[in-house]
Parts: sequence; C-alpha cells; structure tokens
Amino acid sequence: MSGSVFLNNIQFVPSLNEMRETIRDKFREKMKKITGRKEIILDPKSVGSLGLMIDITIMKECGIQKFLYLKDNLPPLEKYTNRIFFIPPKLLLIKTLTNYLQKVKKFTKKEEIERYEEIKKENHYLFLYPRKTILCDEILEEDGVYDLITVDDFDLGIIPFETDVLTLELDSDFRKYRMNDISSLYYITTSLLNLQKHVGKIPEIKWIGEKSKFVAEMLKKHQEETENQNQNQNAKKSEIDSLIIFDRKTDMITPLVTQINYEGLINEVFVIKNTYVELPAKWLDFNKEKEEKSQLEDNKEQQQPVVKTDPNKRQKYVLNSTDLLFTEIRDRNMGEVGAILNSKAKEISKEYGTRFEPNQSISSLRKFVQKLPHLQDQHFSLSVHIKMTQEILAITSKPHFSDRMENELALLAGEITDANEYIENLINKQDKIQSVFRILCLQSLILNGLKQKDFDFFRKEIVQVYGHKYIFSLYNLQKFGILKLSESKSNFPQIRKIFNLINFDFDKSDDHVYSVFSGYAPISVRIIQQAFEPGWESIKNQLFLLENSSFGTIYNVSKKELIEMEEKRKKTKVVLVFFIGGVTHAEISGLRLLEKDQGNKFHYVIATTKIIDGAYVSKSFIDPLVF
Amino acid sequence: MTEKFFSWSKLQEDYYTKFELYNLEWDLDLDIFIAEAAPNGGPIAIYRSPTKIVIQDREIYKGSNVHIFTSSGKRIGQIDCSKKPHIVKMGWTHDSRLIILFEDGEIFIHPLDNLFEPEIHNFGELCQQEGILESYITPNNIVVITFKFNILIFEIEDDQVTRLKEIKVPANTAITSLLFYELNYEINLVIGLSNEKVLQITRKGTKEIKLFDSQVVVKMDLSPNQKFFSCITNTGLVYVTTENFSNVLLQFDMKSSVIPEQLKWCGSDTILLYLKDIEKDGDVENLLLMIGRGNSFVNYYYGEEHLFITTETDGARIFSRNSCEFVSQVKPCRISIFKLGSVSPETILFESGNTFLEKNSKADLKIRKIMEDNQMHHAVTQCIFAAGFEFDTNIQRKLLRAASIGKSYCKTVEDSILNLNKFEEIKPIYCDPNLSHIHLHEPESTNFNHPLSIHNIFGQMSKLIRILNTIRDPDIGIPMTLPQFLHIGIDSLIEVLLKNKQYLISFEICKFMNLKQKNHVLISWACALIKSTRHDDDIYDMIQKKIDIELGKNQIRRSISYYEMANQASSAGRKNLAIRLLENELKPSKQVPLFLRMNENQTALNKAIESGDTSLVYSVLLKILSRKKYRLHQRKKSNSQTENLKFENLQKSMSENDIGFQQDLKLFKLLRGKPSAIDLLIGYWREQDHASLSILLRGLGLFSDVGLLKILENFSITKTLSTSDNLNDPHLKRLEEIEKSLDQLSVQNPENRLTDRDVVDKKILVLKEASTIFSAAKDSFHDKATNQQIKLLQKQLECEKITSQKFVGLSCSQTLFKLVTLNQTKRADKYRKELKISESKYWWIKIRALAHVKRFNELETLARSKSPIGYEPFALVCIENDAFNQASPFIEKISNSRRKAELYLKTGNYTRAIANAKQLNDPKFIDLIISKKRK
Repeated sequence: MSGSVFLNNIQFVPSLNEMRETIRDKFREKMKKITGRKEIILDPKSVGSLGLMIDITIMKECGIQKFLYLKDNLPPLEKYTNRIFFIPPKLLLIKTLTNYLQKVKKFTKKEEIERYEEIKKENHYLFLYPRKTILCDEILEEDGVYDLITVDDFDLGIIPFETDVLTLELDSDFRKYRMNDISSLYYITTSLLNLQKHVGKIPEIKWIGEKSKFVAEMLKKHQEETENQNQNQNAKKSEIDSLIIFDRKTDMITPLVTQINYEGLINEVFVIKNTYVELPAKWLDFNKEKEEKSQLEDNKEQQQPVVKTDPNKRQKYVLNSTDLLFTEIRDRNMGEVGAILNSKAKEISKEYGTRFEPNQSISSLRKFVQKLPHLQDQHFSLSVHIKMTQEILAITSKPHFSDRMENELALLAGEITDANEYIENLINKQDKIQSVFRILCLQSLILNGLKQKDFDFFRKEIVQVYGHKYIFSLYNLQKFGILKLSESKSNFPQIRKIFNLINFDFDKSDDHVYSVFSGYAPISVRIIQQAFEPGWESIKNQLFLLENSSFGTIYNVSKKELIEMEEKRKKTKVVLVFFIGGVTHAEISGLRLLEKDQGNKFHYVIATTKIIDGAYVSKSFIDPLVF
Repeated sequence: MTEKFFSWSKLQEDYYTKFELYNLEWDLDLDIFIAEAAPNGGPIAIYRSPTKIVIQDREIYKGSNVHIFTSSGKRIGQIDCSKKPHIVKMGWTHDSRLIILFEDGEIFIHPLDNLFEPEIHNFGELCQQEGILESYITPNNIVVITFKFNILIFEIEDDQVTRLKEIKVPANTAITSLLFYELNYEINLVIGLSNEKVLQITRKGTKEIKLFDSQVVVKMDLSPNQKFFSCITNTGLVYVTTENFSNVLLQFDMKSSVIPEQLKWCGSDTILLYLKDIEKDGDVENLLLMIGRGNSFVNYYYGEEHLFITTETDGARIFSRNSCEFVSQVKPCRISIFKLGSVSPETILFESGNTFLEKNSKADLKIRKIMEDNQMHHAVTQCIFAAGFEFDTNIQRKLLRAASIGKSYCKTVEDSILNLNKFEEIKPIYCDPNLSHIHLHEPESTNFNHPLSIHNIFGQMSKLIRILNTIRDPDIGIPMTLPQFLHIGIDSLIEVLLKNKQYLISFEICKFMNLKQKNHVLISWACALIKSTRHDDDIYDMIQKKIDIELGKNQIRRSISYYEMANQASSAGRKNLAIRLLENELKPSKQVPLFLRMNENQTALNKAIESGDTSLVYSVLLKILSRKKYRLHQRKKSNSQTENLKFENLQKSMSENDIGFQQDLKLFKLLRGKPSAIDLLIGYWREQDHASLSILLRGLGLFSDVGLLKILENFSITKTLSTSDNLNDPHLKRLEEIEKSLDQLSVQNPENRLTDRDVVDKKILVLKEASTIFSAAKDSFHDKATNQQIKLLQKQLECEKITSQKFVGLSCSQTLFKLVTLNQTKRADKYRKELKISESKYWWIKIRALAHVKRFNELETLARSKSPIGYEPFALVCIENDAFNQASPFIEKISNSRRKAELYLKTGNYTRAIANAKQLNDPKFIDLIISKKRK
C-alpha cells in the first residue's frame, strides 16, 4: 500500500490544489479581459498536459464556445469572434500560425479594405505556454503578422501528475538538455520559485551535477531578491524540508534500462501520456460505463455519437492514485503483480459472494448494497489490470523482450564484457533502430566507451542497414558523450560494488529497490538515498567515481533556524527531488520503495522536467535529419 | 485668542480669513509683470510685460527673461527667452512644469528641476501662418485661436494637436474673454465676443449662450471644483451660474464700469475681483473685492500696491510688492474654538488646556466637566483638526497641547473611538480612500468603515503638521494647506519637493513617514548629482557612500535601481560613470539593454549569460547581429570558392577576400569562451539561417558540423523544390512544400518540376561538397559514409530505371533487400561487392528477403551452399514469416541440441522439441516444453 500512504498523512496535497486553483484563476482572469465570443485553438500534442491544469469545464466557464486544433487549414473566422491560440512556442506551430495569419492578411487585402478593420477588431490572441520566447516574436515579426495578434504568455507552472509527482512537461527538453542550452534551467528556477509561493520557502537545497548547481545558485539569488521586495510578507511555513536537485547527466544509465515495475512496464508496452493510457475500448466496456474524468478530448468525444462497434477504437484509462488497486501494484516488480491480482480477485468474489447468503438482516443487506458501487469500481479496475497484465506478460515472455532484458542486466552486473553479438543480431534482423541505439548506448555508458573496432563496425553497420540519415543520430550521440570511443577504464565495476547496484537474490515479495529493474538498483536512487544518511560529504570519494557528480548544499535559512526546524519536525522529512532532464517511472517507484527501506524517515516528492523512458531518450537523440 | 476672530471677515454665515503667508523681499511692481503661479502653493513665474513702460533700472526689469520664484519670494530659476519671439502666455502643468507659449506657436514645457532642457512642441504651420489672436492655458491643454478664428488645442499628455471646426465670427468683432475647461471628457471653450455674444464650443459644435442679455462679457472663470461659472460684463455686473449656465445663482452689480484686472475664484465658494484705481475717500486705491453668497461682499484696500491673484482649491493666494497672502474660508472647527464668546467644549478644552499646564486648578475642573458632559471626543477632535488648518505654529502647538491633554482623559478604548458621522466637515477628508497614505501605520484603519481612535488621528495629524510646517518654511516656500496636501497625497508632495530639488527634505520625509519612495528620492538626488559638474569618481563615491549609509551594505538587500542612475549618466555623456553604476544593478533585464545601448556588447553578453535567462541572451545576440547588419549568407558565394582551399588557410583567405570578415572576427571574439551563447546562436541559425550557421561553425573549427550541414541540405532536395539555396529547417521546408504544391496546382507549370535524375544529380553534387569538407577535416568516417551514399544513389538511379520502382531514399541493405524481392538477385550480388557489404550480412539480407516474399525453394537452394552465418537464421526468418513447416529442415541442420529444441518449440513441433531436449539430460527444460504444450 505504498501509494496510499501519501494520500493520508501528507499535507502537501492541498497546496497542490491551491497551485492548480491559482493557475486556473489566472486563466479566468486572462479570458475575462477578452470580451465577446471566444474560440480556442490548441495544439493536439500538448493538450493533454494542459488539460490537467485547465480542463474543458474551466474553458467553457470562461465563455469559450468552440475548440479547434491548430492545423494548416483553419476555417475562416466568423464575425465578432475572438480566436485564442493556446499553444507551446514550438517553431512548427508558430509557422502554422503565421501562415494562417498571412492568409488573413492577404484575404483582407484582396477583398475590401474596410473588412481589414473588422478583422483587426475580431482579435487574435496568442498565449504561449509555458512561456514566450524571443524567437517566436522574431518569427511573427519577420512574417509581418506581429500587429495582427496580441501575444502573451501563460505559465502553466509545475503540473501535479500525482500527489507525489510534479512535472513541467517540457517537451524536446531532453536533447536541449544535453547541450549548453540553459533556457530550461531558467524556467526550472522560476517554476521552483513559484512553487515556493505555495509550499513555503524550502530551507535546504542540495544539488548534484553542473546543471543542478546552476539552478540552485540561481534559486538562491532570486530568492533573496524577491524576499527583499516583499519584506513585510508573512513567510509561509515551509511544507518541504529539503530540496534535492539531481542532474540527469549524473546517471544516464538508468533511463536506458528496461523498466520492470508494473507502471514502468505499462509505459514500455502501452505508453503512458499525462497519466493516461490508451487501451482497446472493449477492455473498458464494463457492465457499467465508468465515468470519465473531465478531460478535454474525452469531452469532445462524448459530444459526438459514440460508435461502439469499432474494434480498433482506443479509449483512455486514468492511471493514478485514485485507482486504489493500481496504487498497490504500480511500484511492484512485474513478477509479483500476477499474484496480487489473483488474491484481489479472490477477495472481491468473496465480497460479492456474501450477497447470496440467505437469512441476512435488512441492515446488513443495506450495508452491503452501500458497498456495491465501491465493489464495482474495484471489480472494474481489477478486470482492466488483469487484461493489461496479460498483454504485458505476452510480450515479456517473448525472446525479443527477454533477450534484451537479459543482455541489459548481464551488462549491468558485469556478467558479460559486451553485448556485441546481440546487437549485431538486432541489426541483421533489422530490429527497430531505437532498440539498437538503446542497448548500444547502454553498453557504451557502462563500459565507458566502445573499443575502436566495435565503434567503427557499429557506426558503419547502422548507416548501411538503416540509412545514411542516421549519421546525424550517431554524431549527436557521440557529441553528447552517450556513444563514444573507449579512452580509459570504466569506473562502473567499482560503482556497482560501492553502491550495491546489483542483487539478483532479493526477496521479490518484499518491497525492495532492486525490484523495479529485477535486480538492478538505479544509481540515481542510490545517490538520493545517501543524501542525508550518511550524507554526500561522507561518501565524497565514492561519488566522484560518477560522471558529473560535484555536489553542494545551499541554505535559505540560518543554521540556528535549521536546527530549530529539525527539532520541531514530526517524524518524516519531506524531500522534494527535482530531476533536471527527466525521470523514469521505475525511478519514481524506486524512490517510493526506498521510503520503506529507510523506515519512512523521508517522504520523497518527485518533480521533473518530464517523465521519460528509454524509448524517449533514444528517440530524442536519434531523430534523423536533426542535428 | 479672540484677536484671531477679529481678523476674520463675515460673508453672510461664513467667515473668511486673509493673512500673510510670507513677507516678500522681491520688491516687485507686479503691474509691470505678467505672472502665473503653480497650484498648491507652487512657484510663481513672471516676465516683464512688453506693453508696459519701464521706469526702474533693476536687472529684473530689463531683458526678456522668465523668472521663477517660490511663494516666499526666493528666486529659484530663470529662463532666457531673449532669442525667442514674444511670449503669448504662460501656465503650469499639474506636476509643476512651466508652460510657455510663444508667438510663433511654439510651446516650451520646462521641468522645474531642469529648466534648461524643455520639452518643445509646436502648434504647426497653420498657427504660424495665421498668428495667435487669443490663447488659454490649463494644466493639460493649450488652446489658441488664430486671427482667422481657427481653434487649435494641444494636449500635453497625448502630445497632439486637435483642430476644432472653425467658428464664424462677424467682421470687426473682437474676443473679449476666453475660458477653456474639460468636463466629463468633453472640451468646453467659452468665448465672450465684443458683439455681446457668448459662444460655447465643444467637439459637437458651437452653441450660443443667451444668459447675459446684451452685454459684453469681459472676464470669466470656472470654480476649482468645476461646478460654478463666474463672469463680469462691461456694465459691471458679476454673474455666478451653474457650470452649464442654466441657473444664475448670483447677480452682483458693482455699480461701476471699471473693468477688473482679474476675476478669480477663491476656493469654490467666493470670487475675488482685483480692481485698479478705485476712488476711496477722495483717494485712488487698488481694491480686492470679495463677493460671497447672497451678494455679501468685503472690500480690501491695498493703496497703490498691485496685486496678482491665483486660485487654489480651498482659497486663493494674493501676491503683492511686499507680501504673499492667503484668503480662505474659516473651517467650522476653528470657528467653534475661536468665535467670540464661545462656550463650546472645544473652546473650553483649548483655553483650559493651556492654563492646565500652568497648574491652574480651575482648568482641571473644566476639563472634567467636559468629560461629564460626554463631549471630550468631540472637543479633542475639533482641536486636532483646527491645528491642521492652522498656519501659526504657536497656535498649532497650543491646539495640539489641549488635544493631547483632553485625549489622555479618554482612557478606555470605547472612549477613544470616534464616530466620524458627527463631524461632517472632517469626514470627507478622512473617508476618502485615496488618502490612505495617512494611515500607513494603522493597517486596521485602512478600512474606512472602521472607527478611528482619536489617538490615531492625533498621531497622524501631528505628523502631517510637521511635514506641512517643514515645507512652509520660507527656505522651501511651499505654503500648502492641509486640504491641498490631502488632495494631492504624499507621493505627489514628494514629487513636488524633488522638482524643487529639495532632496534632503524629501528623504527625511520618506524616512519619517516610512515611505517606499525612499529609494526613488535617493535616485533623483543621484541623478541631479550626475548632472552637476563634479568629477565622475567623486560622484560615484558620493552615491555609493550615501547608499551604503542609508540602505546598508548588503547589495541584494538594499536593491536600489542603479539602472536609472546609469541611464542618467549615459544620457549625460558620462559613459564611464554609467558603466560603473550599472555594474551594481541587480536586475539583468534592466542592466543588459543599457549596456547594449552604450555599445558595451561584451559586458551585456556576459551579464545576460550570468543571469541564466536565455531570452535575454537571445535578445543581446540578435541586437548585436542586427546592429552590425550581419548578413553572413549574402557572402555565400565567396565562401564556396574558398571551400577548395585548405582549412588551415581558410581564415586567412577570408580576411583577404572578404570585407565582412572583420565583422565575423569581432563576433567570434565576442563569443569566445561562451559556449552557452554559441549554442544559442547555433540553435537560432539552425532554424533560421543555415548559411550564417555554416560560417559560424567554420569559425569555430567545427568542420565536421559544416559537412553535416551540407548533408542535411542534400536531404532537403526534392522534386518540387527547384533550388536549395535558401535552406532552412526541414519542418519549415515541408510547410513551404505544401504551399508551393498548392500554388502549382493552380499554375500547372511542369517546367518547375525536377526529374528524378536531376534530383539525384543535385544531391550528389551537394554530397560531393560535403565529402571535400570531410576529407579536408580528416573525418574519415563521414567521408567514407558520404562517398558510399554517392555510390548508392548512382546505383539506385540505375535500379529505378530498370525496375521503375522507387529506390532513392532506401539504405544499402534495403536496396539489396528490394532487389532480391524483385528477382534481381544477380544485380544485388553485383552491388553487394561494389558497395562493400560483408558477405555474412548479405546472406542475412538475402534470406530475409526470400522468406519475406515466400520464395522458400530459393531459400532451400541457398542453404545447400555453405552459409557463413550458419543455418539458424534460415530457420528464424521462416518462423518470423509463420512458415513453420519450411523451418524444420533448417532446424535439423543446427548442431546444438538446445537451440534445436528451442526452435522446434517455437514452430510448435513439440515432439521434435522434446526429442532434442531429451538428449540434453535437462528434466526442467523438458517440463517447460510440456507445460507450454499444454497451453
């Protein structure tokens, strides 16, 4: 029951709701300023994360009557209507927008000039989230449409996916993150500052890695500035005791390993997007239609006549802590899930069974009936999870999956010196290019580079088999140091030993960090585990074996205050862990399991720039034709 | 104290007081000067009337300077107008800037603290041609009527001239009086004409006012609250009407046809007339006539003194040769204290309060009596407010002392709660939420419905009185009254003081009232210092010292805007000082643009990078680029020529061949050691301008990147695009493609379309360029890959010709695969060798392709020759394509029993699987197979 613990005893939740309300209020206020009929134009790709903060009911409440997706051929604007573009500042989207605006401009020139005035009056608004960029302004200006549209930004802030998971959902961040581009760091800092408005000043900031250092220092600087401006403001009591900023570059290995915890595997198999997973509609066609949470697209679908017969139709299913069964199994090793589901099924059938007992008193019958909806919910969720588990097991039992897992774990455990044969086989069979890169990069990272012979061979092979366009991917990976030529001996064997990364004989029925990767404990989790006990300072020499592992601590309060807080605090220390550059589901689960390992002394709240997985990482690097 | 009462004049029920604010030492004959004073005790500007004969030879009487004095007669500035045409009129804006209107229609607006740098505006050509007949200046508008009766209005805030419809005036008609005001956002221009007509002009049009039958209106004025209109006719009749002229409220016959010099409102309740040479007891004297309600009036005779009246919201100031006086209505709180024979509790408190301290026993009794009558709050408040309206510091002190004694008798909290409703005359002041600044320290009383305690009022009033007394000091000379002060608010007062260059006093007031403007005052002071003639270093040290003392040494905590000071220094031409000051600025968003403006690109870029705000870095880069007009791509041609040169010489050759190279060099210098800035620029150009990017990458020595950029270009060559010169992001390309193909639909111009051959040729050309770059950069991997791609493209073109199927775009493997599936195995064999694909890989391709098209016979034939990859793959490709039966012969060829068993298991041949497993002696394995079989 690891997940439900958070719901019960941590007061962090109301602050999150408050945050969401603030964002919504801001949205309402901005919409209020636009008078008249409104229609909103959204980006289909990122509408999901937007919907978590501002859903369709809020938009309707603000008088938005029409919802459209940004595409090449937008319908002409009706008279006296405001068209509101609510999109992220992505080049492609902005270009589509300027094309549309140019058409508007052209149209007005060709037709009557008087109408131009009218169209100007029917305002176009552009809200960019999470923020405006100078580049967007430049493009609008260059394309000569800057005066046709009112540009503003809308900071969505940090989006709560879960009571203990917050994310900025910065897309395309991963590739940028690798470069010296610091734009996301500035945004991370402002988001953390905003967060502190709701949860109070975080007294202690620990950082590890270059980028973390940058954020921590900027945070401190801005903190002092804002404090200075609002001297009289009563500081909110801090709900978070400590912030750990973790730079993904310190542990690039973990995201490339196949996740074996339940939620992680759902993600590998079905892909989780903004806490939703798309499943075949027939799986969800339970005897009672489960009411969908107000979600943008779903609502749209509901408005249309539902065609039930389509067998390929996919429907969304929410995966978060409102699903109690999911909460119980999400962090578990896949090997354990079957057994838990089995016992759950027995429990429920037992509860159902009581119904048919004869000679029941009316009152106990009523109690049972009251329990029925709850029971039905459980039954429904159980059936969905059983179907998902079946599907996952079908895939994981295939050699394609098990071979990869075996090779990954063998590399991690040092049981094999390389996976060259396996990789060559993948290439010969023309397996997916992502799979090839993923294991190749993992090998390079673990061995601290490939041998010259292998390096040349695989580069040549990839270009020959998959095409010339992948020389960009190879170049990018090489430039970012993920794929490289071996220069010196790898530290990994030492790291493995010191941080106890491998244990295949752990007790699977017990919650243990090893279970999220079936025997490998993520480096990131191990580093965070030792942040306070014994403290990074005491394992300095061991940390330095890792890449990019300079660390430090910054205090926002005086030593005296800190000690006072330490004494006052109830048992659990609330630690916000911010992963710059993304975090995987397995690591989140790992940290939840770690809480138990550490005797609930710490409660980890995870924040990140994006929830990622191995596929995302390799995909973001190997995008052909981009460099 | 009754002497105070005797100095008052009674106009019907109201009392009026006229007293001297300052004894002036300017000794000026105001008859010779034209004067204009700023409101709220502000300064007075004078210049010599050009029509008057000068009999004095004092400096001030000569020349054509405008002189500015405080109300206390201290000269604070002069403006040299000797080179300008005649002054038509002067006026003051709300924020004490002096407006001067010249004959040629030019308007100078002089800020008081910087008289030499006026804002200059102009009425334009029309005004210059037609000349100014009449004009009127209000704090926000300047109105002129030209000789051809065109009306122009200049709005200071909006900085624009509006022209009203011209009015038709009969010939030989003169304008006798003029009034302009804005009411409810509508402009009103009232013109009195010599043909006995009065016209009201608004934007809507002209209307005649028929109120004053057959008389010429010679003077007009509007009350400060804009509710009453007053005028005087040539027959000596004074009228007061409502602002819309509908009701005559007062008609007063002066019984004299002398035209007054001035007709001015005194507050909004009485009017003042200044008449020259009125007969009095056989003498001729100048007269100030005050007319109040119900035709009541008072005469003040001034002998030979000439006067100047200026209206205030609650009274009027009167300047004469030797004094500056103030006329105003006496507030009820003062009447009830000072009225002769008053026995009101406040009078008793006032009188006994002062004897109380002299240990007069009666005083205590009297005060106790007030308590018993439950009148103490009332009495105390009256005394407090009376002190506020008082100018005499002695009496202020006495009033406050009495109030202080009185309030100490109000012990309980309930006692001291004040019910404001009882004090009608005070209420409006305290209930105005705009005046909340006087409750700065009483957060609970910012809510005006909350009762105020008299302790609060006493404390606040004492503070206000201290401030008022300070600014009334002759040295500063701002005789502001309490209502005026409350009307403009403390923020504006600080502004006024700053305009008067009273930095120290402003700062002290800020400290005293704990105002936020403290920093603003410091900045203003510093800015004034910067404008002085002192040395840069002195100024810097003085500013730093002062800020250290006043705001503390902690840089971040004190957070004062150095930007404004630096900006001032920059515009004052003190660049070094500006840079030093700007270094201290904490906000990069302010700091960086100014560094840029001062051409300190390096510093600007450094600061922007330090801030971590990418947006800021971008803005710096783009500014620098646009300023230098970086058009790197325009020089593309000359660069492609240099491409054949060795790279070590490239930079040298560029400097010789290319004028723009110096600029590039500067840019590279700027970017040196700034990886984040470089990456941003690369990121920007990657999406916007590949030609510039290419040059930048070259400059950075990233030749492989340059080559890859070429390769990227090769990928963007498609049929629909004729050229690739203006290469951009592939996504953008796609959009353009759509656009173009749409255009082509309508035009149908086949000539624009390239043939497959052309496309490949172009691609090869670009790839060859890339190859040259790679080989020069000794990047053998990319060189080889590129050459192979060229070879592949040539082969693919052949394939397309033979098979008329699409090949371009496929990889080597895919090409061979496709050839095999198309029964072109021989050709595939040939290409295999030419493209140097290893034999083992080729076998893989072949068997996969054969299995894919289900040519299992060929697969068997192939298996007969010796396979370099063994026979397991044969089995695997069959299984992959669901050909389980065909897989069996290949499985048999495998020697490893375990593999055999596993593969048989996959084909579903459990019998063979178990048979092979039995050879292994592995019972667990057998169990596994059996369990699978059961499923």
